[in-house]
This record gives sequence, structure tokens and C-alpha cells, in this order.
Amino acid sequence: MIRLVNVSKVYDNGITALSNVNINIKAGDFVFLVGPSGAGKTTIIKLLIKEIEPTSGDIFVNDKNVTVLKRREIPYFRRNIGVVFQDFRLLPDRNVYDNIAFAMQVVGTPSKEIRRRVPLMLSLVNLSSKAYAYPNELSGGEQQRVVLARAIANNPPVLIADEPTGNLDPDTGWDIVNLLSEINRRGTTVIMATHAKEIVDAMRKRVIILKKGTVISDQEKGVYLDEVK
Amino acid sequence: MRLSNIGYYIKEGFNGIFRHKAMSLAAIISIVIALFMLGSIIVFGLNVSNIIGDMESSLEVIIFLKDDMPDQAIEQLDSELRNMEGIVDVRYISKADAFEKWKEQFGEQSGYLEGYTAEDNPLPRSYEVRLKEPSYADSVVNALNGREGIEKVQYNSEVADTLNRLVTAVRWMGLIIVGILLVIAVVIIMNTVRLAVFARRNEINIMKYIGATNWFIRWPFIIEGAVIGLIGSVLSLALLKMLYDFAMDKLSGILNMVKFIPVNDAMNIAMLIIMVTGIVAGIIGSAVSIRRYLKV
Ligand SMILES: Nc1ncnc2c1ncn2[C@@H]1O[C@H](COP(=O)(O)OP(=O)(O)OP(=O)(O)O)[C@@H](O)[C@H]1O
Ligand SMILES: [Mg+2]
Repeated sequence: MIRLVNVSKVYDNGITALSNVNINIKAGDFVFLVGPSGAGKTTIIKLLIKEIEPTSGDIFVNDKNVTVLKRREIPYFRRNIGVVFQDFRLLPDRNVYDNIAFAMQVVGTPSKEIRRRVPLMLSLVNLSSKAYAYPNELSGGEQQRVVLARAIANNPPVLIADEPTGNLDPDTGWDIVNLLSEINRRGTTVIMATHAKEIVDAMRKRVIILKKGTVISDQEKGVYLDEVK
Repeated sequence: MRLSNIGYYIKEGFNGIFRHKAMSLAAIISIVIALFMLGSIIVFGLNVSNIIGDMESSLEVIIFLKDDMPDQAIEQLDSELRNMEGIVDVRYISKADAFEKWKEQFGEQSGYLEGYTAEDNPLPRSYEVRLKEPSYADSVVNALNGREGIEKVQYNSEVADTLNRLVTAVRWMGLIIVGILLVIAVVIIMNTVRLAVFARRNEINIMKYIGATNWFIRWPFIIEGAVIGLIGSVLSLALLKMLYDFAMDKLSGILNMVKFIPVNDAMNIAMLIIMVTGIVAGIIGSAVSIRRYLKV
């Protein structure tokens, strides 16, 4: 379902974020993407939604070559991927409810369905009481959960979560991981970039370890190797 | 554009204005200022051109008739004048009318007419003819000069020429100034809208990252631009009308000879230009400036 073939990324400032990365993820997988800060996790995610272009190599999502996607195909392509952005990317000028509703309006959901589903999403991430709060009135953890609610609102076949527990206390973090796990159990492919060793170790899922832009380990039922730190 | 989205676009367009109140207010204010300048010049130019035009058309050809001209010839002349091209108004001044006029103008001190009556006086009968435009003067004067029974044809062509040149000059100047101000207004409006869009570039990027199409993002912005342009133009028109009313009130006391264009007529002409400028510049401004932020 998702394939990176010999992907390298050199940013404009000359920093090599990825060199010759090969990753193959099947539909329905649950994958942890781990590695120290600056290893290139977010870079991979940005490549997957065509926010940035690889310097070389090919990227396939749903057997579509992302690098040759036409400009007007991009929005429709992105709708297949729900993303929990590391930097949240909530619309600052509308409240929590409208942020989630917006993602559904984008894909043409009837407003009746939106009114039904947004409260459901909010209760899934335990934020029903904050529906009318604006992003700048929320804590980091709360914003993170809004982003998750938005990412899953349209039931995308692929869900990518970049540090979705980064701002959460361990209990809430586990709630989120359990939610991701449940979503994955219903068939969604889930990729989660994280530093949370306890979670990775406990889940026994596939773990891809990145270091300085290269994949140094890729194991089914893997653990967070200590040498990564 | 998907039909079911129209409601959303319109709602979002209005929401955008209220979500960014300060920015919208700033945009509206600068649009009002730009359009008010434009409107003032339009209204001013219309009046100047109207006043000169009035002066022009008040220039009359006066045809003095000999006392011995037979009635039949006068009747003949009368119908000829009424059918002549370029003449809009024909007035016959009888001896009695002339006598009245004289008395009106000079009052009782008029020694000249002492002892005369309305029916019997030395003032000649005449026709006062108003022309559609001064350019008809030559043909009218030539057709009448030296005719049997006509004493003299009087027309002040120098004044008419000067006025004619003046009115042409004023119209051209007005057109040029309005043109320049129009461009300035459009630039101001587009720039304002550009700033408003720039302030929301992140928002636009985020929308793209979660799969919104360009048009889905663009429509609310366009509607917002149109609504802000509309509000700005309506406000500037209201302001213009208020000030015009006020100025007419003050000025007509001092310049009671001058006839200003009635406020509603002046507004009707200014309105079209101002509304179209405001709305179109608002729409194009947002459509153009949003483009670069959609390329993600
Ligand atoms: N827009 C950019 N321009 C230049 N360099 C960048 C840019 N984004 C990231 N980098 C660099 O690329 C490398 C990889 O960054 P990336 O964000 O992918 O790391 P990460 O694994 O997500 O780290 P973290 O765990 O801290 O989120 C880093 O060295 C970073 O400084
Ligand atoms: Mg990162």
C-alpha cells in the first residue's frame, strides 16, 4: 500500500534528511516509526502527503506514484491520508467543532452527517466539553487530540500520526494509542512516529528505526532498541 | 463548482468577515476612502460640466423682426423655426411682452418708454430661440440672416465658442482624473485584500494539506472580497450623498444662480461606477492574491 523506493531528501539548506530509504507497508499494517530527533520521521510523512518532493527515488501510495501526481489530483489524493501533524495545523480562526467539520466539508459530506459525526469524533478523543473552544485556548495535548479527531473524521484508509502522544500524560497517551489500535483493527493502515519507548515496547508491532536519515532496523513485533537514543 | 456547496461558500464568505473583524474593518475603511475620492471627483466633474452646459444652452439666438413684417410671414417663420434642426425652444416675444420685460428690468425709472403703452411702443417684436448645442448656431444664423422682414439676428458666438471649448476640456480632464483615480482605487482595494489574504496564508496551506481543492478554498474568499467591496461601496456612497447634500445646502445659498445636479441623479451615475469598482476589485483582488498560497 505504501512504498518508498530509494528515497533521498536533501533540503534546500543542504541538510540530508533521508538517504536511500526503502520502506514497504502493507494495507492494514500498524507501524511504528522511531528514531532520535532529526532522524527524518517527519520528513517521510511530509513526502507521503506530497508536502515536499523527494530529491530522488519514488513514493507509492495505493499503487499511485506520488511524485508524478498532477497538481489538481493532489487534493483528492490527500483525502486518503488522515494526518496527525506534529505541529497540529489547526485552523486558528475557528473552534474545535468547526475544525473537524471543515475536514468533512472538504470532501463534500452532507451537513446533516457532519452534525451527527463531529460530536462522535469529539467524544472518541474525550473532548466533547471543548467543542466551542478555539485552538489557542487549548493545551498542547488537547490540540493534539483535536487533530486526531480531524484526521479520522473521514475514515481515511491510511492514518499517519506524527508524535500523537508527545504532549500527553502517560494515561491519555495510552488512550490515544488504544484508539489508533482500534482504528487499525477495523482495517485502517496506521503509521505512528514516536519517541515513546514504553508504548512501542508494549505494543509489539512492526518497528522501523531511522537514524540520521537511514533505516537501521525494520522488525515485525519489534522493540525500541536502546542504541537508538 | 458543486451545487450543494454554494450554501457553504456563502456562509463561509460571511464567516470569514466576522472571524477576522479587524482585517475586514481595515479593508472596508480603505475601500471607503478610495471609492469616496473617486465618487467626489465624479460628482464634482458632473456638476462643473453641467453648469457650463447650462450656461451654453442658455445662450440664445434672438431674431428681431421689423415692425412692418406681415403676420403671415411671421406665421411662416414661426413654423420654420419650430422645424429647424438644432432648435429646442422657440419663444415669440410680442411688443407687449417686450414692454413688460423692459419694465421688469429697468423699473419705473425707465425714461425711455415714458408715454408709451404695451400695444404701442418702439420695441421690436422678436423670437428667442434656444439651441440644442452651440454648434448649430452657424446654420441657424445663416438661414435667417438677411431674410425679408428680419431686422437683425443676434448671437454671441465668441462666448459660445469659449464655453464650448471649456466644456470639452472639462469633460476630458474629468475623464482623465476619474480614470487615474479609478486605477488608484483599484490598486488600493486589491492591495488591501492582498494583505487580508496574506494574513491567512497559513490557514490556506492547512486547508490544502487536509485535501481541500483550490476552488473549495477560493470561493469563500471571493465571496468575502465581493461582500467587503459591496459594503465599502455602499458606505462610500452614503458618505458621498451626505456630504453632497450638505455642500449643496451651503453652496446654493451663496451661488443661487448655479443649478447643481440633484443629489439622486448625481448618485445614480456615481453609484454604478463605485459599486462595480468596489465589488469587481474585491473579487479580483482575492482571487489573484490567493493563488500563490494555493500552490502547496
Ligand atoms: N524545512 C526544512 N528545511 C531544512 N531542513 C529541514 C527542514 N525540515 C527538517 N529539516 C532537517 O531535516 C532533518 C530531519 O528532520 P525531521 O523533521 O524529519 O526529523 P524528525 O525525525 O521528525 O525529528 P523529531 O523527532 O524531532 O520530530 C533534521 O536535521 C532537520 O533539521
Ligand atoms: Mg518530527
